[in-house]
Amino acid sequence: MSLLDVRDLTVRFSTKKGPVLAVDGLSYHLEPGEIVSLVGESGCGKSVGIMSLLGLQGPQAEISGSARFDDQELLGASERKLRLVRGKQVACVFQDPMSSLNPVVTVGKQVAEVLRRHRGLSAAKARLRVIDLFERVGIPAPAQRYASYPHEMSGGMRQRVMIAMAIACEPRLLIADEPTTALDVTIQAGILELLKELRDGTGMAVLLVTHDLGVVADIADRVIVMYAGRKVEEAEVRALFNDPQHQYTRRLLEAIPQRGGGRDRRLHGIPGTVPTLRDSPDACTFSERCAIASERCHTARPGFAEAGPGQAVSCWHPGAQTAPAVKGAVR
Amino acid sequence: MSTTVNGVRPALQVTGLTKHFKTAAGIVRAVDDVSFSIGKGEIVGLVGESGSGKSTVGRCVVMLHPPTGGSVVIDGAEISALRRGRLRRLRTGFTMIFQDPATSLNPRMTVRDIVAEPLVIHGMGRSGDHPRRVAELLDLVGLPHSTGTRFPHELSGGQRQRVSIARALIASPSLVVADEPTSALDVSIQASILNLIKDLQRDLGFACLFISHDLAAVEYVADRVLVMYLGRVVEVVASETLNERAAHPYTQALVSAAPVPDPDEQRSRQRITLSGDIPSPLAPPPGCHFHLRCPVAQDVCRERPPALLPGAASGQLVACHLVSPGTVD
Repeated sequence: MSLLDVRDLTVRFSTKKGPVLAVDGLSYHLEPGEIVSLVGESGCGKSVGIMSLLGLQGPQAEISGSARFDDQELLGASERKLRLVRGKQVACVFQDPMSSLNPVVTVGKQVAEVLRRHRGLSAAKARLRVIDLFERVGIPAPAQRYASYPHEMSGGMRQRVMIAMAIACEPRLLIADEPTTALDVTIQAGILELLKELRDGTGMAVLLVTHDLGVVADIADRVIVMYAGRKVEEAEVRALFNDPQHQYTRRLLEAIPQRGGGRDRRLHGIPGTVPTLRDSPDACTFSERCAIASERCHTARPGFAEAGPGQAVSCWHPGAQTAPAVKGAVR
Repeated sequence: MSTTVNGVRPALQVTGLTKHFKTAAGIVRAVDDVSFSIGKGEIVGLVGESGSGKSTVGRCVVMLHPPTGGSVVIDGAEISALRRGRLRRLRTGFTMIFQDPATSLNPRMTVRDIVAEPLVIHGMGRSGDHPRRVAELLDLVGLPHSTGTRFPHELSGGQRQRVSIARALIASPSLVVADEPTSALDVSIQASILNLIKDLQRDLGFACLFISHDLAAVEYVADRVLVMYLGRVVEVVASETLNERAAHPYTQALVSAAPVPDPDEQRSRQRITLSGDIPSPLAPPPGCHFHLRCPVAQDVCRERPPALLPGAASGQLVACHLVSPGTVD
């Protein structure tokens, strides 16, 4: 049984300009100890696809489908039940630690509060445990840092506090939404290393939302690529980078500058923009920007088909090799 | 560094640039004695992490911040010594592209008016000719003429950045400072903008200071790379040799920390992990600014700041006591 099993998740928002389909029939699963990454560009639904599981999406969201964590249904669960799951079994780390921390309470006290609430520890015991956690996530001088306020710490240290808070109750699943995006690369490297250590040490699974394919290459076991609310490809990390099957995945990999790639290897952007969807179209959502789209791509939604061991793709022309930038004017 | 490039007058010559900001907490030493030059038609990348002072250098170069000390010479004119009126007349020669086109374009102006504004402000050309010039620029940056009547909010992020590039180039500047021009964009859009900057630079021949935290993007567009740490330049190296020849321990750490989008390579790389954080520019440490985090720091590093001296590779400069001049590796 999977630790997390999401089936046919659909999330709609009603906005002033009408309904927006943010996630369109997304299915994925996560095994214990696995690091799975959801990647895609802004607006692809990767964050919504995760936050809606925990009831963090707000009342204007209309959610359907199923999401079972450890065989308990999360969608439609009562706030009381969700509160038991959140923090204790599933914990979250977000992009910006400054806006996730209370600015007027010391960081030690904020983490201690989690332990007192979920674990019923006394104040003194919680304090010792927090200092221990701070040490584990690599905060120097943890006993002194206990009494620091968030603004007295750097971005990297604040993110370590967030991770300490997230792992305080030894969750079985850590959801990390762009956890290193606001950090410098030398600090990012340390945070990614820490996530790997925690996974290796405790068997915690990690669901990592990111737009950064370098981060994916570093840490993910399996990758789910999203485009315009839909999953377009899923693969083991090496297969995804070495043999991408979906045209969008291919084009995304061709668009990133490679270190040491030099100036002569020409990059190729993807012409056009991501569509904002009101309804689920009977088409591939990437067809408008795809260089090899055929008639069928514009008129029928491709299903999800096995493309190799552990690799599946939603494309009518999977794996097709093309000269990039055939369609559209990309300079 | 204060010499000319191949005997030709450089497009930009920065000497001993220093910028301090007075704050309630004390004096922030954002830029501390920075010198470099950019040759005509050259793209120089400026990399560093937050707080390194790279954006402040960019802003001092175009006089958005008056420098505290040092000089900025563009095309032979020492603009850092000029009074406002004279500086204003020379402003058409240098220009800036900002990170976030959503906040650097006036939301109440049409694209046409935004792009033409430098011509209006500087009284360049007859106003009857402006529409033709705007159309030329829209062609140049790959926007349809119909965008001219649109407002910034009607455009995508990539289109907006094309508008700010058109505005930056309409007065035919000889120097363009681009401060993180692709950092707010999605990767599929980033590539098109990087290509656009490269192509325009090649066709129009302006010199460019390309500021970014993204090493791969800098390697892709720049001829040379300047690496900054806590207000100082620690290394200058040709971009194609950045990976192999980086000699300063900070540059090496930066290169090793930036993830490469290839799982096999990324997972087998040797990584240099830095401890601690970048110190506060309110109270930079004595000696080499990097010594607190440097894995190989010695006593001398704590005492004296190192000079920027030639390294082993051609054109390379390194500010490190432990890298002997001309004998890197």
